[in-house]
Amino acid sequence: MKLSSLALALVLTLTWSACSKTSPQSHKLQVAAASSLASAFDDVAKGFTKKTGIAVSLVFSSSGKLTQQIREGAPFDVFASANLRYLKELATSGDVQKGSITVYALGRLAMWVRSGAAPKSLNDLSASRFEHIAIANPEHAPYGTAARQALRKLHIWKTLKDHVVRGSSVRQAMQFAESGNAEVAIIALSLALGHEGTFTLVDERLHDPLQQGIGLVSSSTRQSDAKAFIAFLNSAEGSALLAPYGLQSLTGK
Amino acid sequence: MDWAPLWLSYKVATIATLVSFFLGVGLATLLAQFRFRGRELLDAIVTVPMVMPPTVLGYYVLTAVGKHSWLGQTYHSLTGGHIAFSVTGCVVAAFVGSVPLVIKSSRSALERVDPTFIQAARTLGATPLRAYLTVQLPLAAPGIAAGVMLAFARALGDFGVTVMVAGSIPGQTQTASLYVYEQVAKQAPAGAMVAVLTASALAVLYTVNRLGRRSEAHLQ
Repeated sequence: MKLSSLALALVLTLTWSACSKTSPQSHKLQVAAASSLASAFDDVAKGFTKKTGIAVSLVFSSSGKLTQQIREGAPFDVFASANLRYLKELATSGDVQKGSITVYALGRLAMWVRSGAAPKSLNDLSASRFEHIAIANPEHAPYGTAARQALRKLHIWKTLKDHVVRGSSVRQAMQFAESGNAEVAIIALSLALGHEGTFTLVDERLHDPLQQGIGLVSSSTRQSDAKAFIAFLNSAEGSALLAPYGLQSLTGK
Repeated sequence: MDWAPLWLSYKVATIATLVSFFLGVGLATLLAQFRFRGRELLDAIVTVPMVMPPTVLGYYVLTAVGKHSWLGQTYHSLTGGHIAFSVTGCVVAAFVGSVPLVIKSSRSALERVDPTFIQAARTLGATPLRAYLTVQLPLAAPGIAAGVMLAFARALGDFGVTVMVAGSIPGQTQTASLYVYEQVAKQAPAGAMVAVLTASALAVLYTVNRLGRRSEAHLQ
């Protein structure tokens, strides 16, 4: 008898604490960003905190997954996607404030190898030494979609398909190559520049422009801080922090 | 809905469970029958994959069987293929998570067999091996079977380790769990697959419960 009421009390307590809406607010601004922005946004966040004193918490994942999470109510304040399409979809569903969406940079694709020489062009990937070519999953990661698009445009996607391994994000694609299990990875330039290894840029005409967008999540309770972050990213200071990662500002700086 | 990932999952889970059965019961016998220094430590080591975070486990597995590992390179020289990014990799991933379930259940089942039955067999002239095979194993069977069924369910549902090792190649290494994950990530339907996987898990657990009843009755 006593044991079961104790068990009941325990279950109720756990359920109540899980449902509690008055959980202590994290003092940090929650920024969700595409994994391709990992190293770049670490610098941007530091710069932003230094300038404004607002602490930032960064969450990196594939843009498609983050989109889904935001749709389901994930408590982010800002979303930086590796393309514009996901932000537009979220604006349509009301999860992101339409007027807050800006394109702050253009991303580039690069072929990256951990050691040795990187292939000179995508066509070189048919060489037998590339047993496994890692890309981010083209179904939900913008850089993966761009990689597939580029390979299709060169008519080599069909022949290379069996050699392509898909990472759950562009960062995991890089990890496959970093661990030596894939001989090469087609990833974001912004990631390649943040790591050791050699890379070759992929011709940007082979894929749709990788417009790096950012927007304010509608359910955010820190809208003014979120807007400040977006403004910082678009400012000269922000562009300067992004430049070392190959994220070209659109104003041609 | 693409059903190929489901068939791949069943295939991978079946192979992984078979391997888990032989290796698991073997290890369980070692742990149950023989006293040796470090026995409980060995038990802990082979059980730890059960409680380790899947991505950590995946990292270890990838390091152990990847292209630059001893195991990976031996496999390559023997078969010309690679463990990572292949069905073999999926099987290894599923195996690592499910073998502890077989070991735990089987050890427990073997230890619960009343020693007097085994002693009786010995006095009637059976060798230790014969006593093990014809008396102890059959009496431990319901417990072992329960462990094997749980191992199958676990192997069917593996995600964290598989995603690190398999490369999610559609039609080749994209198991049902990976498929569901990706469908959700790109906001595509996954309901039917989820329903089938859930039903499979429920069917397995129900069978395990029934086997548990039989085992209770058996050893009374």
